[in-house]
Amino acid sequence: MVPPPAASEDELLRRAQTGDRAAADTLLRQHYDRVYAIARRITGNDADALDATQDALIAIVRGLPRYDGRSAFSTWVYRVTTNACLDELRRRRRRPLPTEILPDALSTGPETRWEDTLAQRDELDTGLLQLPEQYRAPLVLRDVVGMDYAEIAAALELPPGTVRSRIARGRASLANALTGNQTDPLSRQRERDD
Amino acid sequence: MIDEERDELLARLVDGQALPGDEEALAADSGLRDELELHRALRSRLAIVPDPPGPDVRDALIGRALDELAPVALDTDTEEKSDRTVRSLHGRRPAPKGAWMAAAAVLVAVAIGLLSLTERSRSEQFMAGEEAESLAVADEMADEEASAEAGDMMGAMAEEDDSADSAAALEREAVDGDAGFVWPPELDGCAGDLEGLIPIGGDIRFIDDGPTGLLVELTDPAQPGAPRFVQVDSSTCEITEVDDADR
Repeated sequence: MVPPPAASEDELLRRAQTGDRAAADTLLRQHYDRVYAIARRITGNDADALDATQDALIAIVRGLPRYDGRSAFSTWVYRVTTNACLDELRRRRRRPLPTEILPDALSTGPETRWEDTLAQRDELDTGLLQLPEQYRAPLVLRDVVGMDYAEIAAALELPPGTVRSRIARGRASLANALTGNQTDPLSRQRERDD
Repeated sequence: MIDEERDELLARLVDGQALPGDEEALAADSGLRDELELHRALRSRLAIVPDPPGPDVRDALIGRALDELAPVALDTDTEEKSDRTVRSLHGRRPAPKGAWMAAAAVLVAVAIGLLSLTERSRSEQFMAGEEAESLAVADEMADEEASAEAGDMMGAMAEEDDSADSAAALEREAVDGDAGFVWPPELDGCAGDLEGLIPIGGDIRFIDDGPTGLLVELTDPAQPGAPRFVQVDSSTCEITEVDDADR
């Protein structure tokens, strides 16, 4: 027996918006891995990522009837997810931050490749958590989800130029933190702002 | 090249959005090439996310979310936000003072009407009474009636006073209630700002933390299916509208 052709995202959306549980289930499963990935990278740990993922999925389901198609569904999903993650971070703000990165522990020999250096370290999460949220969210959407600058701008409701500069500063700051470089681009930015 | 320009150049190169001249700048700067390698490695590393929990957890998360589907899809006007922390204010905004005063006036009018009906009935009974009774008895009865009527009058007057007191008490309660919502401690200082937003007869619910402060839902009896959402910065009492669909 030939299985029926898979429904398009538009068709699934239309059905989900009228209360079709199976259609909504399919949509959520299609985006689940990326929703979790965003949550994991923005919150920095498994437990908070699960909470944020649950909140995001619920917000997506609740928002389905009001999704109007002005942006791509995936863009809207990741926007809702990002907001759920930021909400989760605020709720858990009283939790102490992970131990700061120790430059000595990050020193590498001349023969060490960057991939090896970064892959060995759980400090990536810590470095990300040390980035202010306004830098972390666009960087995660870019590097984890692969959204382009225009999509990130739409998702975060920011001008594209702001997205570009935040990704540049955020990535440079994270790289400096992970390599023990004391020149933090965000500090430069703050000093200039002051 | 200043540092900010260098960061943006690296971002363009990493993200495949190089401008004319970027490649030449890269070719001429070995330090830049090292940084580019680092940034590319960083991007690759970021993209590797720890595996999500197993399918059981995924199914549970999705199933829990789908439980929200039916009420949302079938009746968006009565959408419940059951998973959020809702802090009720234990009461709705009371009706305006005028309504209580009108109710008090009606109570007083009813009391006076009942009193005069009673008096007329007693008077008719007396006139139709047995004429054989002596004047003395009649006088005595009249005295007793007068006394009783005086007592009734006093009672009625006291009742009127009670009614007036009750109305006044209700009115005081209304006024007190107007300014006496049970605010969460973090919003106590913003009570005045928030009260101005509550429609007459409307309700207010505190949901939980929003992106920039406490999220508050305001309902208006004139628009039962279209609650407003605002966020309140508890430190500045700044209030901003929120589109809940985007949360």
